[in-house]
This record gives sequence, structure tokens and C-alpha cells, in this order.
Amino acid sequence: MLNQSNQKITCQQIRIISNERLAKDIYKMALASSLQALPGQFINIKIKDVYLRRPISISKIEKDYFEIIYKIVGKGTRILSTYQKDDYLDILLPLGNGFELVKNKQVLVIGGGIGIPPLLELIKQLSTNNKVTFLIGLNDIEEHIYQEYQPLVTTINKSVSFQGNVIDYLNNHHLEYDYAYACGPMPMLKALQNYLKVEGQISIEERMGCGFGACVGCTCQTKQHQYKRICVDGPVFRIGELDLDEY
Amino acid sequence: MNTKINLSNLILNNPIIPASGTFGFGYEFSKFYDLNILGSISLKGTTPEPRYGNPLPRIADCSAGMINAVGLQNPGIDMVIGEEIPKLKEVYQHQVIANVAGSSIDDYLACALAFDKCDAVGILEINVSCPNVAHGGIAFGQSEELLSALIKKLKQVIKKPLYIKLSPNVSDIVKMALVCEQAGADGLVLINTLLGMRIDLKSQKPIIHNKMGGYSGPALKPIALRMIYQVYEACSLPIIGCGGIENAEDVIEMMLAGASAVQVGSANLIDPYACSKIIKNLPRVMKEYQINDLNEIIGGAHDGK
Repeated sequence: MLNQSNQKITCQQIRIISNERLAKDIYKMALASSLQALPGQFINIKIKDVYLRRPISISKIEKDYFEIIYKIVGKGTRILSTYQKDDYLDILLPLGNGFELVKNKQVLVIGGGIGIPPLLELIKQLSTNNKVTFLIGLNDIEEHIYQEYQPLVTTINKSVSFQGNVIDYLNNHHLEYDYAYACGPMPMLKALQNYLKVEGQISIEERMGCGFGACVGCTCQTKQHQYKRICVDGPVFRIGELDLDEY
Repeated sequence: MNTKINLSNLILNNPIIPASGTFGFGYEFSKFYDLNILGSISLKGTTPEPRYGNPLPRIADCSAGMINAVGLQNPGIDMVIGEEIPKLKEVYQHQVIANVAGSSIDDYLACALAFDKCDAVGILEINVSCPNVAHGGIAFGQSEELLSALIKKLKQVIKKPLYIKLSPNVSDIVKMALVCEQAGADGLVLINTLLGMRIDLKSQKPIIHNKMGGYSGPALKPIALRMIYQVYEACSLPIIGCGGIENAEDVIEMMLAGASAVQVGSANLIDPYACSKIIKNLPRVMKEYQINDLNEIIGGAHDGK
């Protein structure tokens, strides 16, 4: 079992400080709440005109606000992008476990697509006690909104010097690391779970009903066939812990 | 003001019961509020053997509701009695409703016999309406002969009250309710989910891995109300109303249609505090509509009442 936050889950009305477009279909929202949360935890947002809440990872935690970065993938996130500064959102938080922070390691952090934002707060917190290498995989350089974190970048199209996915990048570059963290689409996580020979943690994404363990709508299995709910036992798991082949 | 309800000699302090499958085995909700405020709790559907359930995705969002195809994931009757119910008993003092699922008469018998010996269980809810499993009992809920045979068999050996949770996916709900009554059932739970589907425009395939699933949420309330009303007219069994309840007003509406108590389902997933808010607001809404005793409004919408 990884980190479990001791923070009580609450349902809060939280004021939007800003909701800005960063790239095509990608938005950053800052929310006015002094959140006690771990990197890798998520929030579940009630959005007008859709029924289920939408789970979104926390990408930055500051003293009196926090941020999420989200992509418009459907009706819920499209409506979320229309909220304005000073609107209020009904949010359940903080949810899930979080990343466990290592110390004195050469850490490789790998993000793919909209799996990158949950790694940003992690990188900030890891940097104090570790040497961190950050590698991100994007479809196109236009999605690159992470300059301040100075990542190595690979894209599926030809928009940067190296073309390919993150596995292709690792195969073609010699990176020194003895611990890894990853978040991204399931094919990437599956490939990394087979590729990586070091210990580490992955965070996975799934459609959820409730986000706090009640509906068992997001169950996965460990290699020992134990059932895990992604929303409460995850979303962070140890590399090699889950049987990802069933996805 | 009286909110106490008697369901086959199980006394509920109020008619609010979290519905099976939306509240796990209860104890995890004790981090949100004191569970003892709840009238009772309907436990996650239990089968004789542990079940993993269906592949993901199991959940799809809909207008005014959601589709689930969890597929009766549960740790099996031995674990439920040995571990889950003892954990719940630490935080909940009232008797619970055990939801019994299966795919054969022997499955139902095995679980029902085990729950019948369990002091923490007040009522057995026989789930003949799970739409998410190939042989998930819905066959029993859609066939008069199978349903009658199952209830008669259970009644021969089970001492605790048997409430039958019926499926709305039938052409005549009254006929199924009368089958239950004639076979000796003690009460009804109306209604389980409606079969539904969503299709993802990007993949152009059903969102749910199982293709179909059970549609629940506020969209079901008028359907549940209609079915409860029809069954109440024809059948004298007590009814637990279920389908789209979100607030105390909905509880009153269900009771006017003929429900003696209600189950709150999907609302728990949107707001873990849903049941506690409904219970808190119930006296205010009763006062607003000059209701002193909830027992007096059961079936109140019917002619001659």
C-alpha cells in the first residue's frame, strides 16, 4: 500500500481564481483553497448539466490555492472550460492515495499526454532530495505547456528533433536513473511496466462513478488477483503491482 | 413528528436506506457521517463465491443518471459474513438488509441460509433483477415460473423476511409483484435499474465494456413512482421504493405512491453525504406539507385515501 493521505475527504464550494486556455483543448484552472494534499491525489468536480462528477488530478499545490490542468475530452470537460473567474465549483477532495516520495535517488519521471499534469507537483517535491530527469511524450509540440519544468520531449509527429513515443526515446538515449514514476495513457503504462527494470510508481486513469470507493466502478486486479479500486487504493500503484494486460 | 417505519417488524428510525451497490458494506461511509442516523443499510449484492465483476469501463455518464455494469463484484458470502458485516457492526448498531444475488436457486439458497443465521441482518433482499451478469438473476425477475419457484423454495427454509427486488425491465410489473405475493414473499423493492446503453462517438462503440448496463439516477424517478403506484393498487405487500431519489421531497413522493420506505442509490455516488442530508431535511419538509406521521402518507396518492 502506497501513501494514504490522512486528510479527511470533504465536499467544498471552491472559488475559481482563473480558468485559462493553455493550448488546443487544454486548460489550467486555479482554485482558491488551502488544500492539504499529496502529489498524485485528485479531486472530483460537480459540473453543471452533467450527472457524474469528473475526476481530475491536482497539478500544483500552493499555500492558499491549487491548480488542475485538464483536457476537453467530452461534454463535462467542455462545460468545465466555460466556467469563469469567481464562479464556484462543488468539489469533493482530496481523493485517492498519492505518490510516495523517495530520497537520494536518480529519478526518472515519465509523462504522456494529459497524464503529465499529475506529475508536476511530484517533480517540484522530488527535486529537493533527488536528481530528477523529466521525460514527456506528446502528439505534437503545440501541446508543450511544461517549459518551466524543462523536460526532455519526444513527439509522435515530427515537431521536435526526436520522433517517437517515450519507449522509443528511452531505447535511443542513455538516461541514468534508479527509480521511476510514470503517468499517461494505458498503452504507455503497459509498455513501461514491461520495459522499466527499476522500482517505481505509476498513476492510472479510469472512468469513475464516485471517486471514493463506493461504486466499485473502477476496479483493477493485482498480479496476485487481488481487487483494487483505482479511486481509493490508487490511482498510484507500484510498478509491476497491477495486471495491466487485462486492459 | 414521527418518522419511524415498521418493515416486517424491522423498526427503522426513518425510511432512508442506502441502496445496494452504492454504499459498499457501509463502514467506509462512516468517515463521512455517523451511520446510525440511517433507517437501515442495503448491503452490496452477495454471491456464494467471490466475483471480480465485469471488465472496465463499467461506468458511463448519462443525462439525469448513469449506467453501471459492475457485475456483482463482491468477496463472496463467507467474507461478507466473516469480515464485512463485523466491520460494519463496529460503526452501525441497527439491523441491515442483506442483498442476495445468484444465478441458480442453489446460489440464492446458499447465501440466504447464511444471512438468515446472521443477527445483524433484519431483512433479506432477493435480487432477481441484476442486469449485468449473464445469469445474474434477472432471468428469475423476468419469468413468473422461475420467480415463483425461487421464492417458494426460499420461504421453506428462511425465517427472516424476504423482500424481492424486482426489475423494471418487464412488460407488466404488477404481474411480477402478484407472483411474489402469491409465492409468500414478505415485501418488494421497486425498482432496480433500467437496461441502458451509451455509445462513444470517437470509437463508435458502446462505452461500457459489457455494452449494456443498468441505468439509474433521477431519470428513473417517474418510472419508479408509476410502478410503485400500480403495484400498491394491486398488491398488499410492503414496498421499499427505489429510483432516482435525491432529496426529502422525493421521499415523500415515493411514500405517497405507496412506498413504506425508500432506498437512495446513485445520489450517494454524487454526494457521499446524500442520505444524511435527506434525513436532516425530512422533518422540515414534513412540516412544510403538514405531515406529522410518515406512516399516514403511505399510499396517500391513491383514490379513496
